[in-house]
Amino acid sequence: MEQALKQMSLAQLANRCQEEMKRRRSREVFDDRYCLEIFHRAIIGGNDQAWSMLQKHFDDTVRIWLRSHPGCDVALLRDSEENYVSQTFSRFWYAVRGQRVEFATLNAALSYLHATLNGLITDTLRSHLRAREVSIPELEPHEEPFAEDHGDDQTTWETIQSLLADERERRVAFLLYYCGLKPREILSRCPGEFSDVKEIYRLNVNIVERLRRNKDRLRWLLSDEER
Amino acid sequence: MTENFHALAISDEELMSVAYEEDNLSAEERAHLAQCSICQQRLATFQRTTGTLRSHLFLRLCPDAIDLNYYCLGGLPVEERTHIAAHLLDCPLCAAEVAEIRRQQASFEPFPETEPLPTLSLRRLFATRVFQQVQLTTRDDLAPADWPRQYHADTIDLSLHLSRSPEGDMMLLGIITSTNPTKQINALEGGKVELYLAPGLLGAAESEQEETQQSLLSTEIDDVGGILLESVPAGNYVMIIRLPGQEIVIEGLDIHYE
Repeated sequence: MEQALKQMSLAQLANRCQEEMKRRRSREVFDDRYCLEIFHRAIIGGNDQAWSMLQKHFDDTVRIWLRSHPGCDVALLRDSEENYVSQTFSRFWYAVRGQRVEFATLNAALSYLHATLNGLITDTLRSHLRAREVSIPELEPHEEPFAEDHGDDQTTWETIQSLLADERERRVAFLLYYCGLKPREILSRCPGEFSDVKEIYRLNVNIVERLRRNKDRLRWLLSDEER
Repeated sequence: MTENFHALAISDEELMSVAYEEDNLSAEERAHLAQCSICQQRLATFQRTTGTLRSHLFLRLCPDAIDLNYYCLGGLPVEERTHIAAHLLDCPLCAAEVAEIRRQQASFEPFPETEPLPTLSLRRLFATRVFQQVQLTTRDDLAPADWPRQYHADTIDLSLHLSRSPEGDMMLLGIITSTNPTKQINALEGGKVELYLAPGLLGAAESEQEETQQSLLSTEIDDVGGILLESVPAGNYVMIIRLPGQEIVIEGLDIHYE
């Protein structure tokens, strides 16, 4: 059988794949080896035609997933359905091609494709949340807090950590600023970490004072304050 | 922080709670804050610094959600897996996200039984005007008598107001809200709002005409559901609000300069 699969043309594989998919959709017993062979040729074999065929076969499936995603409404306000579908395939390609992922079942392959779409939508919703953080009233409209010339995010965090007194302050700084949680949310999301909300307020007062005292080391971060 | 020796001066911790809108100040403390410029200045410093930090740093250390999804499938190289695992120990947001991803993946069905149509179905809804017994007064007295107007379509409520710009042009202002409790407040943000000359677009109900007719003015819904169309000439109009999966049509918008 394996040998027969390898010898089938792409067109033959596509036909059999389509038939088996119909069976799968109507909950009948199905054979996923034809579809998997297309995945294999596209990903491991680097066959462009197989990749195009794979996209063609699963394009509608990805659209259905997108439309049934709970974040679909908001996501579609940010980008078009076409773009989500095309980005899903493109990100999937880079992920599986780089690692030469060989899928054992069609379900496993589609889980990976679905994970890509799910991640894309979540990233879109997160970037929307981030954009909302920028529009807080404290910032002037002309400011560009997310300009990319501020260096590495990890380096910034290391600098901030080096200015804080201890692990407690670092933990509060991370939860308040990197996770965007409010002090009372920290208490509920991280139970047992802090005695009460006043401890978080107190630690945050210290954090703010320390960072303000060291503005020169965080010039890009706190320069807004001098305006 | 600035020293403040006033007997009623509010502590730094309390001011920080005000900065996060979580305060529990007494009436006396509130009164003090309302009149004490020093406390106000301290509060403003807290608000500015915490706001600036949050806006710069929010989510900056979190991995891409695509990687979180691959992580849950065990589809990442060891180094990235270790990095994400360490991040999850620290970050309650990503930990919650991963829990949700795992739940979804456990019940993943590639071919759900009820599949939507191959093309995205678009519902066109005609908004009905809601007449209120008591009309609200507009922010100026220059708008025609039957404005502002309220409209309703499915779970969408729309309030439209006419106002004049300092230059004397007419502006059409709106607030759109969803009565669907599952929709986030900003769920309508970015929806396109178009103003067409009437009749024509819908009177003929011909899709061909719709495709060819250009809107006179257009804008987008902002993050709080606001709509602003500036310099609206006098005329009769049809407004179309394009939202994901549906269009809301508001007919009979007669705008006249009085």
